[in-house]
Amino acid sequence: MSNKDCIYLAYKNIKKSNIRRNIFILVISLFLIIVLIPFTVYKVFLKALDLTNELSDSKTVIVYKALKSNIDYIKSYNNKNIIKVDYNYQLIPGYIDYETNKNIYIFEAIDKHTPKIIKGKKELLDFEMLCPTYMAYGVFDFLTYDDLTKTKIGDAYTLNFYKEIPGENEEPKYEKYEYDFHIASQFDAANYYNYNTCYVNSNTYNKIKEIFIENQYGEDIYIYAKDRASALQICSELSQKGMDAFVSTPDTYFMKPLLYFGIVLIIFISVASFITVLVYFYSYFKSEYKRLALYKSLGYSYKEIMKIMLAEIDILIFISFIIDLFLFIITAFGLELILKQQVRFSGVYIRLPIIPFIMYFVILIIMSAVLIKDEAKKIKNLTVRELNEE
Amino acid sequence: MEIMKLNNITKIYNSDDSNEVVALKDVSVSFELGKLYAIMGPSGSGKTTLINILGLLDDATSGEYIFENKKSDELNEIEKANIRNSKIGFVFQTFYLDNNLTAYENVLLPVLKNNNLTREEKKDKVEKLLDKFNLLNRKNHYPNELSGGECQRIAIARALINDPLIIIADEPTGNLDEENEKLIFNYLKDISKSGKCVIVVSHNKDIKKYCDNLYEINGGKLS
Repeated sequence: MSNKDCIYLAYKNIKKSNIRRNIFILVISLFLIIVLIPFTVYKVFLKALDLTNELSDSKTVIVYKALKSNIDYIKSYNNKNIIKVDYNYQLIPGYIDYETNKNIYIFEAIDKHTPKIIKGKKELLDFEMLCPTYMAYGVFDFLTYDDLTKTKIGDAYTLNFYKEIPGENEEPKYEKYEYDFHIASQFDAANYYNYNTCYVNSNTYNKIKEIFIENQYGEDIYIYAKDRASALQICSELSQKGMDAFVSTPDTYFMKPLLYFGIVLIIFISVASFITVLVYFYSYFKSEYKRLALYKSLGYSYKEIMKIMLAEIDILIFISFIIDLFLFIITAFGLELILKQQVRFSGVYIRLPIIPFIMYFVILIIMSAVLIKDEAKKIKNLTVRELNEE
Repeated sequence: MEIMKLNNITKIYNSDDSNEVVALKDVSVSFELGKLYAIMGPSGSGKTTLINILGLLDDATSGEYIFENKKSDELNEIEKANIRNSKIGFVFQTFYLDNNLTAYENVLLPVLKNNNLTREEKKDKVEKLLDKFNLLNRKNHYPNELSGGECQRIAIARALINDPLIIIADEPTGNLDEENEKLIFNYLKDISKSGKCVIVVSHNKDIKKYCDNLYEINGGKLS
């Protein structure tokens, strides 16, 4: 008997509405949604954490209030994982337009410290920028999606930088420096939760920086490491030398409870699913005794009957799978919609955790096959007697 | 021509506990092609057990069952299933049509597992049989949309679809009116005349008019 015919018979049998079957589908679908939500949230934070670790902040060692001896030590410090040391990093050369109150940070595009380019060229020329796909002019934490502006390659920006100079009566004066920039490449703002940082090449960066800092050592030293592990190691070594060294660490205190919660739920739901499948199976087999006895009398071997039963269960599981996909899309859409209106934009991305999703169904299918194999042995004992039982 | 032979068949249910039931006792009988056999007997006399054994759905406790010169206990599960599929056709009292399938699909059911025929050939076979039983216009109807007589004709068509050598009918007219009863007995008689062995288990005394051989079963003994 071909698989196609098995599926055809199974399809015909489940086509007719049956409350028990509908409950089975619903329970399996709901169980999965309950599992998916904590995993989805966990995955969202995990991805955020991974990306945060990729960001420049997480790979940069800051030595605060460095003394001359510290500078001498760092100059002689030999570590192949250091990309660059900035001895006069006093300020992030931010662009602030005092008239419109717009604000963008300008960073130096250092290898391994810039976000992944999704569009445009890698090598930036002077006054070319690597920008987020959506730009936000303002303080990151207080922005919402409505504050974002879509950027595109080739867009021109004229940015005014103001150098503070001492004025009369201690009133500061501002000297205006105007530069024209072009967007040459873009990174995915959403992935990096980074909407107000642009990157320029070293030459441009130094030109801007000269506006703010005169050619002298600043108080803080920035050491750019290849990766986060190296940054932590350098930080530890410098701290041991008595320096006030620091590497920014993302908040992760909520990650473990979320993961444990997800694992506990998955165990609970797996057991509950197993019991549901088991209960469904026994009641299914009992109610289908007659049909199976009929198939046997028509010359179907117990292996063929087993195939039909398995096809029926697999179709039910597949229906649950499809229902779950829809449920997930609706839930994710609803959650995103609510969250985007309520909280700041960063971190609100509901994505389907593919592996737990697929695993859940694979386990269900394997479990069904094992149970059917066990149950199908009873088919050998089915006779006309079962057909006559009312 | 002899097709089936039972030699001293005994069937005991629950043989290992106190509820032991002797359903068949030393039954010896043979069946030939081209004949209609009637087996009559009261409820609990062992008719269904006999059908189960003849139809290779159950094994005897002792004795020998020879099907086409081959002992049944030498057949494995798959061989028995293939014989049931291609050489035996069952007709039941309450039709036992699959309510989820149409008349056409119910008749198709036994031939579905035959991989030697194309889908078109199977369709052709089913439609010819439905036509023969005047059911072609009802082929897309589900059993609950058909009359008892129509359902039983579908059940007979299903039993004949693989052109089996033997038809085993268990109370085939039990749920039918007089008119349909006659129709079904005539069909079964015609089938036996076409060279097949038809075994009818029935309470209905009218079967005597149609059968070539009549057996009575009582207390598990065939006479």
